[in-house]
Amino acid sequence: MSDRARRLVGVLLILAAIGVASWQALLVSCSSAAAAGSARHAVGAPR
Amino acid sequence: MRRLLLLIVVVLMAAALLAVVLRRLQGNASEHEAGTAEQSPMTGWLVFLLPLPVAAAAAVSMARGQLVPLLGDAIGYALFLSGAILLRRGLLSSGRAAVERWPLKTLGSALISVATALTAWLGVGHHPVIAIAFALVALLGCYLTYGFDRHWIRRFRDGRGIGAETRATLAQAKRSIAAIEQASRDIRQPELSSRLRRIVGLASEILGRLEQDPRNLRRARKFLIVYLDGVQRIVEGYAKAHSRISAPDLEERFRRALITVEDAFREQQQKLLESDLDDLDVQIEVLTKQLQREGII
Repeated sequence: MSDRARRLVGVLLILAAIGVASWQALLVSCSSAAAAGSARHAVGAPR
Repeated sequence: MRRLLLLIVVVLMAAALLAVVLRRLQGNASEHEAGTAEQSPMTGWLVFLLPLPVAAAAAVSMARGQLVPLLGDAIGYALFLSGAILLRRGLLSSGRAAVERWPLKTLGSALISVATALTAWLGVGHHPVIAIAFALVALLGCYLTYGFDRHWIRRFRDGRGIGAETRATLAQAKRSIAAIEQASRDIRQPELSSRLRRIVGLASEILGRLEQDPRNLRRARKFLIVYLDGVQRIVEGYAKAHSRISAPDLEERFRRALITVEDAFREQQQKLLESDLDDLDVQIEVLTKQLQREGII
């Protein structure tokens, strides 16, 4: 693999891992479902 | 409507990021082809830029009173930032004749990897196994893009670690080069300035070679102790005198001294290259004899 191709794959992997995790964290914290998502740590309401 | 706007903003940001990445990659490739892989001040910017949403997520989580995501995002961002700083320092020092005590690029990549896992686990809420997968992908990405500190690993594998005395000598030489570079900025003569830049470049190359293979240190001790120290003193002295008075005689003598120093540095560099070739010659000879003994050739 040439140096340029190696770097391109590396950058894509960084975007895929760090970029996706970062934006997901922001979206989860912003969305209204975030409250429900964080409520997985809380006790569920009785039926 | 608001969602559409958000989508457009995200798409525009992604396109701009991709364009910058491609431009940087092209720039890096041409630098490698030209053999001047010096690191720019923008080095490692990607790992500074990408985790910014994590900081925003931490702020939003705090505003909403969500404890677990706040912890995940805040600690994750702190680790991202620390990792990016270490990675950048490692990248900048690998382009010059620096003597680092720690494998900064490897440590930085590891921190970024841990930060990714923590953000995916506590910040997003992924399963820990998925978070570890994120971390491994980030680590692989860092390795492919920036590489790890191979010289450092090789030194320990071969049992040729740089001792404290050697490290101190190299660090002193590095300080001398930095001082020469600093003093040369005060000299306004273009010819002398360019000659000094060449001398600093040669000295950095020699130091980088010595740092990679400290076995050559004994051969180059004179260069490190006598020449660099002497050059530092005369350059600093000339820079001071030059700012106060104009003396053509002094300038001529300084020019001749610089020519001598440049020749000496070139000679030193040549000697180191020749010693590498000698080593290679010996290795080839040993291998040939071994192959002859075993009847292969």
